[in-house]
Amino acid sequence: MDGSADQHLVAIEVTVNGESRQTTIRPNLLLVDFLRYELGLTGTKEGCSVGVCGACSVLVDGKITTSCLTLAAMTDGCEITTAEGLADQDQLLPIQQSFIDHGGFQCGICTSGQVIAAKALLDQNANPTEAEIKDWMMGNLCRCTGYYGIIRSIENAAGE
Amino acid sequence: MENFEFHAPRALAEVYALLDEHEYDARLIAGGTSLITFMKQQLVQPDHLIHLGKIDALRGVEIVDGEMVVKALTTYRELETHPLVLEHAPQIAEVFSHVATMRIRESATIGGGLSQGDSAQDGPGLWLLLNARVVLSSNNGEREVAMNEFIEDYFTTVIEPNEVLTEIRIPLPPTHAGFAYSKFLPRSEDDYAAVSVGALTTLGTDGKIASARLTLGSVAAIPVLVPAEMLVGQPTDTDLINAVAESLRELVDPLDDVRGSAAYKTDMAVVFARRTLQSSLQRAIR
Repeated sequence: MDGSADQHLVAIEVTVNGESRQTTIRPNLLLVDFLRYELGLTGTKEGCSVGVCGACSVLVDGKITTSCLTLAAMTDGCEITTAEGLADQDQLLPIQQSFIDHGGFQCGICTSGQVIAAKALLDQNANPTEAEIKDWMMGNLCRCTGYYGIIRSIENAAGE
Repeated sequence: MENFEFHAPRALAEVYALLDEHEYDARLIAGGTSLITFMKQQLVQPDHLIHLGKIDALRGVEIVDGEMVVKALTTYRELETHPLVLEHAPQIAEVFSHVATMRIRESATIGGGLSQGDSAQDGPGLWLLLNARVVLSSNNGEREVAMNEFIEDYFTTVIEPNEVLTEIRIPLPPTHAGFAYSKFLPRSEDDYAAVSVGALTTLGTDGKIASARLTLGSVAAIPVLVPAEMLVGQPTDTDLINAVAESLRELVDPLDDVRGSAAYKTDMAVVFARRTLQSSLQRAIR
């Protein structure tokens, strides 16, 4: 590769948590790094970096997406929602309040991804069964709760 | 990850022109769930990355002349839930509902997965079982490649540097056929399989086996078709099922890895092949 490759930049326009952003980035910038380091949205965490743990889950055009395996450049024209974009000012979504009320987290590192994944589930299926919750949430690992608190949180938020 | 020049063309003609210009220096990207992990490990370092996400001509599922045509950008999740798939080939939806996790299935695409040429993925073995054909397109037109000729070695396909995998064409399985697909997953539900097996069988009006097809994934450099013609004309409880399953020992060459030793995987392939054949025969309608 010639040295000029480092100079490659690409212009993107995305809507992040309802706010339109036009910016110029290096093409090899991952979406998770764009959110955390360019926009300061550190609610999205990076865990495994290989798409297994789900900590970096965000919504891209409403679909649950692995931000550590997505280039920011690939999301040009898309609408991105992170954990910071769920609440309306201080008014939490029912799914967020339910995680607080039903022990859906302990240390918190996976929580942004868990809540994003749960939001994506409830958007598609307002009243999921326990089996559907387990199947959907399989890709979001948690090493504190034993998952029961997470499942309970989603069950209690369903239909609200 | 090294930097690269990023292209986001809106038409296939632009993709062909970029590939003609940059040849081996370019790579195509769709969902990115597989390629980005390769790029992070610097196993792949393209100078030009061509994103296909804005090419609407590569999206959709259709039924054409008794075959299902799946365009390259169709995601695993779309295949799992598409009304045409559920109506005409629910077997495909069944398999893809158990691939990786929901988050990966929302991004990973049929064309991207297949282009990786990885027999440990579920697509290649399934497409071989269903006798699918891959369509490769370029400025020179398009060509069809039968699935049994598409993957040549580990992560190596017959795709030329100027070609795009645009769709796959899948003959619809007969409605009376018995289908079964199973995976041996010793680590976790969302992992690559240690062994995957697909079986498609039909019965004659006399209740005897009329056709039988058996494929394996994860146990060789390429997906494996196990000859099963000896079952034709036999009753469904024939001992020859064991013979077919045992015969695969000569056809596989699995790797020793965290999912098991080569010897263990071979033994498990035999067990899973026998059970999967039996399941498919139980589901076949005479």
